[in-house]
Amino acid sequence: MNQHPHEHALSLGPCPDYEFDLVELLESSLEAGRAGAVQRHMAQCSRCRAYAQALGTLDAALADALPRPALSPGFDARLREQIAQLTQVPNRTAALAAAEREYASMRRNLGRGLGWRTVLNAAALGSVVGGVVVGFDSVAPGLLQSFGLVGPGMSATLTFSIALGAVFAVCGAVFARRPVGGSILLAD
Amino acid sequence: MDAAIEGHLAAGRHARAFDLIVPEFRNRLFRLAFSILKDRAAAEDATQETLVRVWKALPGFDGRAALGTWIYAITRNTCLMELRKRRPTVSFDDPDSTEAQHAATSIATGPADDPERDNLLRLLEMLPANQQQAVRLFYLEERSYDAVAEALGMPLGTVKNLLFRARRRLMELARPEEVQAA
Ligand SMILES: [Zn+2]
Repeated sequence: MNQHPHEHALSLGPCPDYEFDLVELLESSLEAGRAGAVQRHMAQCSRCRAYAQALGTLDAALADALPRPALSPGFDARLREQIAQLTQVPNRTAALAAAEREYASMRRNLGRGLGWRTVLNAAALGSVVGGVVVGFDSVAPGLLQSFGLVGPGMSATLTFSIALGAVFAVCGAVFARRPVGGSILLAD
Repeated sequence: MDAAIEGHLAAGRHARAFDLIVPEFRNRLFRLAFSILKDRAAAEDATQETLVRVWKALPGFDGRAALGTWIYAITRNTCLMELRKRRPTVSFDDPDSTEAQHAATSIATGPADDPERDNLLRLLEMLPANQQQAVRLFYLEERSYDAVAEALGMPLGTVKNLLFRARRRLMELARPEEVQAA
């Protein structure tokens, strides 16, 4: 109602055909021929004049209001430090991997020396010997007694002994031949 | 400068190329990051992270894209990841999403005793995120449409249109009673 003529013109906005050109005119990027035409139009059109003026005001206000921060002086040093840390990582990783390989190899060797295979081999050998001894006794009872290996009162337990000896012998032979790999020994 | 960088890259001298990339790009990347994140410290962190990612990826850079295009894309990606960290539900599939603006931290404000300035910055915050970003970057880049287009990976016409709509909207917001009456 009580609006200033300029404000009234502004509220109506620019002529649609000129709106984009007014921006380019403000930025001095409008082609010369078109710029002349737009300026001639503005001389007669209060709406486009008001809009062009408001655009200029907004542009100056934005340029003034928007922050223009800069990188801190320590930026390059911080970046160099981070890059340097990254370049060291492959060396550290390689060293750690080498140490782990050495440790694994050591454990594997230790496992071969004192591990299940040794125990199973011993059990198999013992079982085979025991089975042979008991088996001989069943085939020729007098033979082992004549060597003093089996006592005279043992014939009652011979059947059970033969069966037990045979089971030990079979189990011992099977386990002794099965490869007992490092993967089992090293499984954590 | 770009030719020297490309020469080093072609010869496999990635460390030498990187030594030239840092001074050539760091400030431009920082301005791009600030236009997205609206926070100085976060923008500096994103710039550093971007350059570290560039350093790691440089041996695999095949030169099919321009170096700047590639580095700016890494910067934008780094910043979007930072925004997602702040607010995981934000969708950036819609470039006009005004939600993105809420994900960013508050703008770096200057003197608090300038109500007109504060009002203008408040109005700017009401624009869609991509318009806000274009406006911020446009003034950070001293009104260079080309610099904004390169940093945002957009055609020049798209950037001009984005800024055109942003300024028109800002003028409308600055006089809401006339807009409502219209
Ligand atoms: Zn007009």
